[in-house]
Amino acid sequence: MGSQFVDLNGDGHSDYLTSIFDGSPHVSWGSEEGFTEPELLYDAGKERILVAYYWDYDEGSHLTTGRSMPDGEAANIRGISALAFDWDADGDFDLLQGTYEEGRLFLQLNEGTNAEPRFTGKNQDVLAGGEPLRNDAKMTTPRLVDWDGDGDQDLVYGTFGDASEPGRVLLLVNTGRIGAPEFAAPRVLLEGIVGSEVSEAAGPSEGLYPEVVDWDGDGDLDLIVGGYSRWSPPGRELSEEEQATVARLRAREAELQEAYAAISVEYSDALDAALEGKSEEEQEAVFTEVYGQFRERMQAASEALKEVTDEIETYVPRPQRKPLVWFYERVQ
Amino acid sequence: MNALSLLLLPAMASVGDGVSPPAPEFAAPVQLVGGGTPLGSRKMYPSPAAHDVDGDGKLDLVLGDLPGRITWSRRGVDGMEKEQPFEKTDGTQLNFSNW
Repeated sequence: MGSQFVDLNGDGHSDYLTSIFDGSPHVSWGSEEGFTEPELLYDAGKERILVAYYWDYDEGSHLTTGRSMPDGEAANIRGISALAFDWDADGDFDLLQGTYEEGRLFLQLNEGTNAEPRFTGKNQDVLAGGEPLRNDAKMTTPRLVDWDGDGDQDLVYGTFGDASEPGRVLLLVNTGRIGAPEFAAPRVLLEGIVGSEVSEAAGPSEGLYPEVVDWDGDGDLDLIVGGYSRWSPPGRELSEEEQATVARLRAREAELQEAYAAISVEYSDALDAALEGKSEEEQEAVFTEVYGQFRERMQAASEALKEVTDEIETYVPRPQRKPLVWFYERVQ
Repeated sequence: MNALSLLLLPAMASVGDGVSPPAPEFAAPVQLVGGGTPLGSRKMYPSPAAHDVDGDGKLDLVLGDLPGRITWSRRGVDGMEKEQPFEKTDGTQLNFSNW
């Protein structure tokens, strides 16, 4: 969830705006007393604001719609971040939604006011270097800040990355004017720290969620970045005998992983078969019954696997992956 | 890229728009800790937002995450304090119930 504190309804109190994996923006309204239970945001047609792919609370399933897409076509992309910003400088907040799949950014204009918003229900692609912004590494959250100090808002956003590619924080300089932003092509502001040589937590590696703020109060914008850090603790030197033991354990680990995967598939198939034709009310009992049939085997397989991986770890430290938050002081 | 190379981020090429700022440079990242515990370490995909939660004039850190449960860390005199639930008016934690 990419989120923002912003006085969305113009009542003088900051609200908490975010989007979650149901594909829609939600807001918790702020007041003197505090913050409310979150609510969905709706457009002028009383439709829930979204990108395309969303969780339908009535149906209890994921659906997709093209009603808000620029081309009207349904697509499997969902908004997971929201940012309010007066894009067209008409005095009210418009809405930006960043997507998980395809790493896109959409603008939805507000034709009303902050107190009485009328979002159009139609998304427009935000352009970068003249092309619709996309990133296969997926977007975590966008931020709009005057990064270069020229008076307009530049776009900063984070990416997830994955096991093969680090997450990044990217900067798109605004080359347009107030009321008509235009963004240059993205460039890397920060790259996640990855590599087998990284022996301790040294910075975020993937899922980089940036906040851009003058954190240390020295007059320039710094980065606060949340994300997963990955590193490989250094191991000790192993004797030949120990190396042979590790090789034997690794082979056993692979066998046990295969066995666990086979049980999981068997369980999944049995569950699918048992759920066939069952009503929603009956499903919980089916889950319990089928899981009961497999529980002992799954637990035994899991424990056997853990025993071997724990033994391997006495020789070779396990790679680490932890969620952490980092401060990057801008020094130029 | 390791910590040292982050410290010495090379100059990044302008994209040719003529108005690109000089390449920013950052000091080596510093892990944020509150009350002795790394901030975000009990979250899935921690997402920070700076906000003066308690109105003392200093920016605190509010943390979202994948499940949607919001916490915050107050910035005290001696640095960040222990992460705690971000409460709504009814005293319960702000929770966006993501999944």
